[in-house]
Amino acid sequence: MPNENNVFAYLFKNDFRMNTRRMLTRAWMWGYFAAIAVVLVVVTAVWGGENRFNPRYLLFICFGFPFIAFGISYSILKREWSNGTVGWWLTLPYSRSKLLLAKLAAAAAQAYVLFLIYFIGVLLLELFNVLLHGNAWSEIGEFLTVEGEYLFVVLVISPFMLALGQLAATVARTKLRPLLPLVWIVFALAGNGFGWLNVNAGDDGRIESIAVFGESAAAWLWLLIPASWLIASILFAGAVRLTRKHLIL
Amino acid sequence: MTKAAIQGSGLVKRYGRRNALDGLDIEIPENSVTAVLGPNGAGKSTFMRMLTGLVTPDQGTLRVLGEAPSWKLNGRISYLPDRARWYEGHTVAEAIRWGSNLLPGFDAAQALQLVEQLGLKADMDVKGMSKGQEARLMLAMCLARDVPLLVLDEPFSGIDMISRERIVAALIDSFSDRRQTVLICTHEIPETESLFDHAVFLNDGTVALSGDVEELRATRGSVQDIYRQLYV
Repeated sequence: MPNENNVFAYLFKNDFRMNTRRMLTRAWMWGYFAAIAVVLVVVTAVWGGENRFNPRYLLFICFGFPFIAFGISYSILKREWSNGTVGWWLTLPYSRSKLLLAKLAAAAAQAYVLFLIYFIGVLLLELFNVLLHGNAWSEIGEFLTVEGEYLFVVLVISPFMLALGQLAATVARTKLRPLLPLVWIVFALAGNGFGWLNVNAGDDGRIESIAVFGESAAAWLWLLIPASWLIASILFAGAVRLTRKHLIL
Repeated sequence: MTKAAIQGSGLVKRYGRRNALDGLDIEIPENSVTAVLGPNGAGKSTFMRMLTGLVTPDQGTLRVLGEAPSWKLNGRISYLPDRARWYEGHTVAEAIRWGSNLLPGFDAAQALQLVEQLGLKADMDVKGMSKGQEARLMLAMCLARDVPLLVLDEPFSGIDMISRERIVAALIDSFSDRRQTVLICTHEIPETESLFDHAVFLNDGTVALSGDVEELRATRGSVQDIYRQLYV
């Protein structure tokens, strides 16, 4: 007999493991990553010292992270339909909120692990840059501060995009499907908007500060974070309601 | 009078302008093996999905094991969905672990015995399985549960003759061992006719004919003959 307390943990673990395994088995993807890593190491070795290339520029990729969070959440749920397992999943004797929350948690964990790996990778590149070109060690400290700020912003804005991804996957399977273009518009606007919360580039294109951490940051910028969590919980409740009452099966 | 495990009254389900179920009145006797038969579009799968709460009726009432369908009730129903696949990231052993962790009444030892009986091995990857092998795994996952209601929606769909025979043999073994209400929706009538105690023939979302299989045979011929009489 399944232990009720362990059910959520198992659902989470099962989704996280299957999705991670799927990712790890894509050899071609790792080939691309390895090639990009080699290019970055070479570029840092050649141009890093003259400051014509700074690993800090790679943090601009954080603009894409909200979209990645959305994509992971969307695909974890969508796969139940595309793989033909939705009948098993939806007839499990557990509430829709528990089933969806486990998927949301698995998507969040996977997104956060990916972000963390990226930040560690960029940090190692910065370390390589400092060691190779004899830059001041204080640069590492500054770099860590900027990275930490980026990581913080990416982590706190992800729940909104994760919940939106889940809602998009659900709406696509209901009578409300015609609303899907609206969800995609919110996806594009919110993903982009959150990106601007993340960064405040200086005049020369170099990162001066993170907007919410900037000296002139308005208080409302910080308020956006709990507001986005509140909206995320409303989106999640919407997805639960749709899977409970409005699915077309 | 045999007690009913499932009672539906005036069930209606609409998909756009089409009524998949059109005022269906149905009773399924307890502890019997019931065939739900009919051509494509007769409403069989809609009815099966309704039992597990996947689909809700637009009108009418449905009682399953004395309760309205809900996610909680699914703890007492073992359901094989139609056109289902298994998780391709699993091995057979992982599928069994999935059952042990999530399905009430699931007996892992029995599941392992069943999959071996059905010609599968614990270390097989679902991803590399044929459709027949996957169908056997899914059936084993359903049969390994000790629950009062077993619902099998098209368990033989698209699989080869050998797999079909293995599955029927496993079903015969399973049904002789325990008291359980079983519903099977299938088009493979010749292979499965011997399993049925009761039959319900659906047409256009309503019951065209239902009754005890022995009595139907005595008056109208085999289940296959009745099928031809009703639908050809």
